Amino acid sequence: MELKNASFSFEASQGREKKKIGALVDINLSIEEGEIITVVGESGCGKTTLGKLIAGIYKPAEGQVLYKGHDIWKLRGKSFKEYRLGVQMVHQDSYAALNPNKTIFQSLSLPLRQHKIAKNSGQAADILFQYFNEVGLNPPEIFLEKYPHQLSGGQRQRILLARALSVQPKLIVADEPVSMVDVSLRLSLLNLMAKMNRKYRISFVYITHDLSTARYIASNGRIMVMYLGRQIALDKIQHAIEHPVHPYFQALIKAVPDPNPKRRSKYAPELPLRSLDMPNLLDLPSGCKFNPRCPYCVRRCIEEEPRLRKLEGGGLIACHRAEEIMAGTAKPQMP
Amino acid sequence: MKEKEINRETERFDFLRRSNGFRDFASSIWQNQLSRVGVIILLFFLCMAVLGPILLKSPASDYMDRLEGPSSKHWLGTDFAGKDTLVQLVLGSRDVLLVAFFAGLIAVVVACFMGIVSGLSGGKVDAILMLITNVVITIPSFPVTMILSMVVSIDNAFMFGVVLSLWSWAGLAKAIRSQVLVIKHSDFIEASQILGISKWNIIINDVIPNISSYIAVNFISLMKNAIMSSVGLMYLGLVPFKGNHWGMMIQMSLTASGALMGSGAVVYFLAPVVSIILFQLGCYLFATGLDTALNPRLRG
Amino acid sequence: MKPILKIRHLCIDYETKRGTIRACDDVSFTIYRGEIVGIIGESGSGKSTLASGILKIIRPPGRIVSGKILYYPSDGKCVDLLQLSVEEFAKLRWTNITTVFQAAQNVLNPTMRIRDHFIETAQAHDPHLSKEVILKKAKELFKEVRLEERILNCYPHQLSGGMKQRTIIALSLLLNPDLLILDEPTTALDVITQWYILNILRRIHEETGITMIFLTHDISIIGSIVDRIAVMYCAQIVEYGKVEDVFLRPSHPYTKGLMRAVPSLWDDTSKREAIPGYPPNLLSIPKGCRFGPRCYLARGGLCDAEKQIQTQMISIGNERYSLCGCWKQVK
Repeated sequence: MELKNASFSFEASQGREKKKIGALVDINLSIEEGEIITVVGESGCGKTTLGKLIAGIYKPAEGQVLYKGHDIWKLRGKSFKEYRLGVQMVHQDSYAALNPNKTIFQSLSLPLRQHKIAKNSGQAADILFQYFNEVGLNPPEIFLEKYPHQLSGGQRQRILLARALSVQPKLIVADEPVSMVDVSLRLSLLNLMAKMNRKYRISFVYITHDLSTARYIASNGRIMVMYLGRQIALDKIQHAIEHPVHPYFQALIKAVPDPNPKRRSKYAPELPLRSLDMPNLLDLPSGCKFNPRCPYCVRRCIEEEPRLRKLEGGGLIACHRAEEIMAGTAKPQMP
Repeated sequence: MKEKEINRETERFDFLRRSNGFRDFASSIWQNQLSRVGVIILLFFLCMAVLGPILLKSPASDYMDRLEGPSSKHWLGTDFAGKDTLVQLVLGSRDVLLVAFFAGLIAVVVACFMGIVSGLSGGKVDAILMLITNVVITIPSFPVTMILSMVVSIDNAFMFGVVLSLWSWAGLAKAIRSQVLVIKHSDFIEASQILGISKWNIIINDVIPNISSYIAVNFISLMKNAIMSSVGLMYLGLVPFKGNHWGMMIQMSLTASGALMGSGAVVYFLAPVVSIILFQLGCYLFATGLDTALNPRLRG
Repeated sequence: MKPILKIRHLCIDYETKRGTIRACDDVSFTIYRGEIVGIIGESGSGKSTLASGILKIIRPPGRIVSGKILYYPSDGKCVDLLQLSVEEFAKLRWTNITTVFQAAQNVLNPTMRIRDHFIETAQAHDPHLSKEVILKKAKELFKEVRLEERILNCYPHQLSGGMKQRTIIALSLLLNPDLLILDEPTTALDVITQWYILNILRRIHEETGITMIFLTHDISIIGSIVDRIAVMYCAQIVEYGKVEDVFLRPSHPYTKGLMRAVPSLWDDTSKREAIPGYPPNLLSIPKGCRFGPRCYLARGGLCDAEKQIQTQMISIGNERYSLCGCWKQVK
């Protein structure tokens, strides 16, 4: 999957004016087969919008979204069907993602029958039994005959995964799949997704604001950090966490709490941020969008927006002073 | 190994058979005491409408027995021509119910079409359809129906139903559109789109089941209103409807028998009126249970 | 250390179509003045019911069956909150005991400006307070929670999630309470906002010595703020003690499983393991020990879960309590 200079915006009215909010600006990303890439950022950074762009729900205002080299919005007929089944999504809210008035079997057998993956209900049941076993829902009949409200969050999330797998996709966009699941069960769901990635070579785009789970699932994959619709970092996840360069990412790492009470005194006494809150989306600063909060901000940062560029030592960063920060020669200035 | 496979097969088909939505629906209606009474009343009328005209023949006029009160020979008395009231009531029920049913059905179909197309399309299509709907809502329905009934020739129950429904679908259409707008952006509809489900299947499987309780409850109330409207039109003499009909009975009782003037034919007037009230009560009670029965979350 | 709240044998039930659920089963523990207590529990653990019970906001079909919640105000005699009438408790609420709910819940009135929230709350308890006095206090509190003064003139919909949460914290401190109950205060917020909220709460605690009860399912924040921790599972408290002890040397298999099941940013990912099985259905509680079906000790044959009947927590020294009969084997 490839995104080339993709942009997407929402319209909002401020008083009498209609303004465009740049939900995604100039995104460039290529995803290999069998790769896991995590997209990390705070709420409002555009990560969910990115997921929907990949899944074909939103059409980019500029740029292209390519699947196997073809622009998905220009596909027709058989090649469109290949894309449509090839890219699937697992939503965050498992209750909202299932039809409340149909049993699980009725909901999940419909796509199989429509796309002729199964010729009749019997075959659909066979296929679903197989996938339910894969995702650990045993015995499958009990879950298939229930309505969504009769199941727990963790069970429903597995059903969403089984549904996505049943059409044999090549890429799954998982939008905060574990945030609404009990803490003790999150790991088993993440392990399941990693297993599907290895077994079927399905790529995963894992969207989250939780760096710890991102690191757990994408231990050999890449991480993409977003801020206000822009890519600010793209790197191998282990390397990025151990050597954070972008000032925003540095603050993000420092802000993650460590459960170990012995390390409480080492918990950041102060975050390297000049201000607490994100700027108003309708009134963004000029130049680098992070400059009002950045402790390393200089004049160039207000005049010119940095582009994503390759740094020595690997990784892509969008920051004017990246080399200085890496070398340690940049001095942070706090108010 | 083969035995295990056969066991799996039977298990699987067992489970496919067990998922029976209709049985859950029926038992939910039965369990609710109010709607149980409603169902009984409606079934009673249904029997009357279906079996009545088969079992009974058109009553004979017997001018010797005219304007009698209830007696053992004529349970509800006779009318101005000596015809048995009860027989007329039973025979008339078929037309009444047919008209109400057609009126309700056509109104629901039109409302669904307008509401769903308008809600899902948005933009110009939505604006035009809503303009039409708003015009229909604003202009009072009964006067329009009166005019229509004078203009359109009403020969049978179906046409009568059409005329009654022409101006009654608008409120429901607006309500359906609102519901569609609410669920249009739901995750499960988005998930269906991502799974490549066709637009038509999305409407049938995702949209309609989630507005079905809405439609059903409104269908019942449209039927209720249709009865009132049909009776009203007949009483005003605007509908030259052949055949027995409770509305005709009311009209005849007031004009030809002077029922309200104190003659013994007051029963002739009361019989259809009470039947209408009873039928509407049945509709209302049935509808109270419908919302729960159609919603799996409320069924428990 | 003086106690501020003593909960004794609290039982809260919910009536449902399918039977009675005991959401809090014989819960007892003590909270001392000036400390920060964390109550950890997942869905179905009963922690939200416990919070509602303390605040007396349990509504039918829920009801408090038995137990005592003894509150010790700094200047008065101890009083059982469950015996108070609605008016008497209303006097205590907000002046002595306040709450902060999850940011996603809409506790702010969307038709009122923020400053009117402060005025209304203060005047509900003391109609003689003047607007100037109230707003002066509000501005001081806003400084504490790092909000700009102009926010006082805004409507709730104009604020972000983090701003709303800070406003609610400021509002809860308006009448100088001595007990603050926070129910999942940072759950819907992102990491940086969460950091600031915890930082603000820590500073407020240092300056005023207010007692705080933190209810959450997020273990990663307990290490950063909490002094003492209670772990709840299936309507019971399964472990209670100082946070260093509980975290480093858990004495209940559930606690141990929980610590192992949550990934952090610096740990060895290969050592992480989920807790097997599903959270319990409160309508069909397992016989004997409630954690038995998922417990690694029971699976390993080291403990016969069905025969374990613990009605009282076991004191294991150093002010620690556990509900596990085999606590010595939890390593």
